[in-house]
Amino acid sequence: MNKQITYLKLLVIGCSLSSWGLVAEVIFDIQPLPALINQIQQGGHVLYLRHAPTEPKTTDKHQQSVQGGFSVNYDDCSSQRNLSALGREVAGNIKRHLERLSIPIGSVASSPYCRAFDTAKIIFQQVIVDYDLAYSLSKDSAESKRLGKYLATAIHSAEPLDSNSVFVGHSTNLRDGLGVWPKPEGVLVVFKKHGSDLLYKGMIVPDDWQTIADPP
Amino acid sequence: MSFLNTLSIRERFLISPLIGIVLTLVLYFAAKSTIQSKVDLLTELNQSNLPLVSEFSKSSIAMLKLHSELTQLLLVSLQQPDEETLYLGGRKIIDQLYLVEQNLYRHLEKSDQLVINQLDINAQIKEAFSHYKSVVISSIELVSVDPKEARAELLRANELLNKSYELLIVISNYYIESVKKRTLMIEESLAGGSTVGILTIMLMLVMIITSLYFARRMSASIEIINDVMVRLANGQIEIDLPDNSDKYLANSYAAVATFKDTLQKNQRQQYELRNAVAELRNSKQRYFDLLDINASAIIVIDEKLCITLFNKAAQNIFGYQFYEVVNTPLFNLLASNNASQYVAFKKFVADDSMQMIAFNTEAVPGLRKGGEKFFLHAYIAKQKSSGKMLITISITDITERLLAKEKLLKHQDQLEELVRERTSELQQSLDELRRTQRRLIESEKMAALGGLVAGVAHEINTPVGIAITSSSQLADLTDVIDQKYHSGSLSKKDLEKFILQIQSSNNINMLNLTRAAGLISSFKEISVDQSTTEVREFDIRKYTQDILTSLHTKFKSTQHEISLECPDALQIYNVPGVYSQILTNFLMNSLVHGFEHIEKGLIHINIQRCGDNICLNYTDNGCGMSQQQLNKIYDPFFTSKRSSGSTGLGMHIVYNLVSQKLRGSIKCHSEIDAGVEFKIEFPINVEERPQQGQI
Repeated sequence: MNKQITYLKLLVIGCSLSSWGLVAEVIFDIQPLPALINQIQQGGHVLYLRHAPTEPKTTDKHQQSVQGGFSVNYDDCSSQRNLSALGREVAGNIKRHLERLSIPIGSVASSPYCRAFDTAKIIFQQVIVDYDLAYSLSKDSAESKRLGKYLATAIHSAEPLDSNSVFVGHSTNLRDGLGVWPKPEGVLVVFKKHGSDLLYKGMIVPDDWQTIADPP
Repeated sequence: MSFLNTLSIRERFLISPLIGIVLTLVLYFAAKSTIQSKVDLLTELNQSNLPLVSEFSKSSIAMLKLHSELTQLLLVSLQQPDEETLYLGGRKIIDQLYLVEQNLYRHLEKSDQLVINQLDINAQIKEAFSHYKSVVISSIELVSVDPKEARAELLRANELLNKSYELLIVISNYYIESVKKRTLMIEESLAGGSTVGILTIMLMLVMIITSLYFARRMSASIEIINDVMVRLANGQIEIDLPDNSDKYLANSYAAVATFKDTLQKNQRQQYELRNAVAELRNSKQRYFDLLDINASAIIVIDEKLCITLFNKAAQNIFGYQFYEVVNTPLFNLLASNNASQYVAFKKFVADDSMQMIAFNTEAVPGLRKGGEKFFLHAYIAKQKSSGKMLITISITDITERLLAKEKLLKHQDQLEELVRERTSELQQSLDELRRTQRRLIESEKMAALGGLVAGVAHEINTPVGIAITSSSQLADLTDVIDQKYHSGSLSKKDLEKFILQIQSSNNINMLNLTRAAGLISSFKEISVDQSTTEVREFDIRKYTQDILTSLHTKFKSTQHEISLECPDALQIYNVPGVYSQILTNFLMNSLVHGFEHIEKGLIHINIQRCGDNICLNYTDNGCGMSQQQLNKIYDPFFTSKRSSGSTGLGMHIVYNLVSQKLRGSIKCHSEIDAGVEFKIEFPINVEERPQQGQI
């Protein structure tokens, strides 16, 4: 009964979020961290990882004006806001804990931005670059909505069985697509496809990983 | 012909008003166009420059508002650094920023391409705004990460915003200046409305000039006609009429031309009339002069038969002066009235159908002033002039002629007597001449026969001589044998040798005597034929060869050659003697005349049958004859060798023999140094042909 009330409450929240122009409905089904870890250890989830912490006082140098707004030069990491040393450490930790907790990882898609791709490479090694996961902040309204919708559709469409599908990207895309703001950098957001709905089960921030005990 | 001349008078008068209407329409559309251009200027001013300035101002305000919101966001981030909140606020600003950019760029596209200080202002604005937008986005990106850094970015954005503002002010000033200029242009244009006024004045001038031109053109032809008519009326006929190229004034031009022609015709007629009167006067004088110098006496009488004109000759004949006979009766001049002549004259006067009568068959007795009688012939002509009858009598004094005629008749009688005497003498001479000719012809024949006999004797002499020699030798041998026989010394061998000699002599004699007999037979036949005109059948080829043989003695001492071309066994029924004479004549003429200076002459005789006739073609390559000689070749006694004994009767006889005896025809063709050619054609059977013409 409590669970049903919670669903109803989260549905209301999700509907209210849709007024922000989200492209798909998300049902909030926040799980406690141990249960969340336990569930993703079973596979069948979609994990959205915001890139690890970046260098402060730096921004992307928007050198190219493309359809729908600015874009960085994907081949020139020096013109971008990149991972800081802390960020690389955080990524390394996440990798180690994912392995430690035996969390099964399936396909990994990453934003072409260097900070996202580097994060994905450190943690997962096998990475596919998806240019539609690019940072949506510098885009105009229509393009940012398109990128958000693309991400939402991609997460909605992914239906892994024994492993978890991973998307490595930026905060604004997830906010634009599913109304969830991943915070802070390096956070892992967990979704689960439930029928035609998408359940948002919670986030795992970088500091959470070390609190989780080893599996028995 | 110009276009104007093809128009009728009424159409020409319509030209000026029509041009006025056209020019008024031009003025109307020009004024309308001018007003429309002003309206267009105002519309353009209203639709382009001012809205652009306004849009740029709107963009500036929107940018300022967004910058203000960005500043507000930054302040919020300092107090409430929530990433999501800051992103949502920033997202709005970014979306608005893109809209402002889109709007600004759209209006810049509409704007002129402005280059100030060699810088493209539009491109600079785009670049500055793009830079500003980039910095704003960076600032929003940083606002949730590092608000202090975000603030630093905001300060950079301020500078870029100011730069964009300055550029927008430049472009706005440009358009404001443009608006001012256009406004000034409109004001000037409106003030310059005098263009229409100037155009109006020009068009009015054009209308006036056009009207004057057409008025002048239309009146020009009429003035020319008028001027010409006035000059013609003043007697200036010898003027040139203007060229008529005006279709509708053609009748007027034609009338003027007719008027001029009429005047000229009148003038010519007057001139001709004056000339005719003068000519008539002269003619009358010449008439009287002619009458006076005329050898015939001319007397004119009126209806009453009284004298009205009496010329000099009449005065000379009759001895009267004109004044003595004028208005006196004509019959006073006659010696007596011959009854028949008087009746004829009266009838002539009364009969209107008779115009002329002649009294020239009988002499009319006239009477001179002194009473002397004389004879005259009269030709009387009658004519009516102005209702009056005039009778002209031409009189010739024939008295002397009658006397002369009488003398002439006497002379004529004497002459006739003399002619009779002379004719009788001539007839006797002619008869003698004919007899002489016959004798000569006979002599010629005898001479030819003599020649033939001489030739025959010569030809026969050789075989007979041989026979005689042979016989004489045989006689000598016979004497020798006889002596041996009687002496008893005759051997068998001698006898056998004698017999062989006898046989040999006998053979020689037989051969030569046979030849002599043959020759005699041929000559006999020819000589007999030559002396007779007997008609018989003979082989013309053989007979011709016999003739050539008989003349062999004449030709054998020369190098001349005779060739005969004739078919075998061509029997004809004609007079062989005549044929022989003709051919002998040809051959002897060639020998004596043609080959006189030629050593080796050629004679060719060609005989062919042509239908029922024999065609004989005789040619030689001798000296030939001139055309003058050729014309006389058949004339009797014509010869170029009279001094050598020729009679000149040879070819004359040949012609008569061919035409009369052979009943054929002969033609001769010859040129100097080109030989001679005779063509004779005569019937094969002479008795079947009628006799042809003779000399």
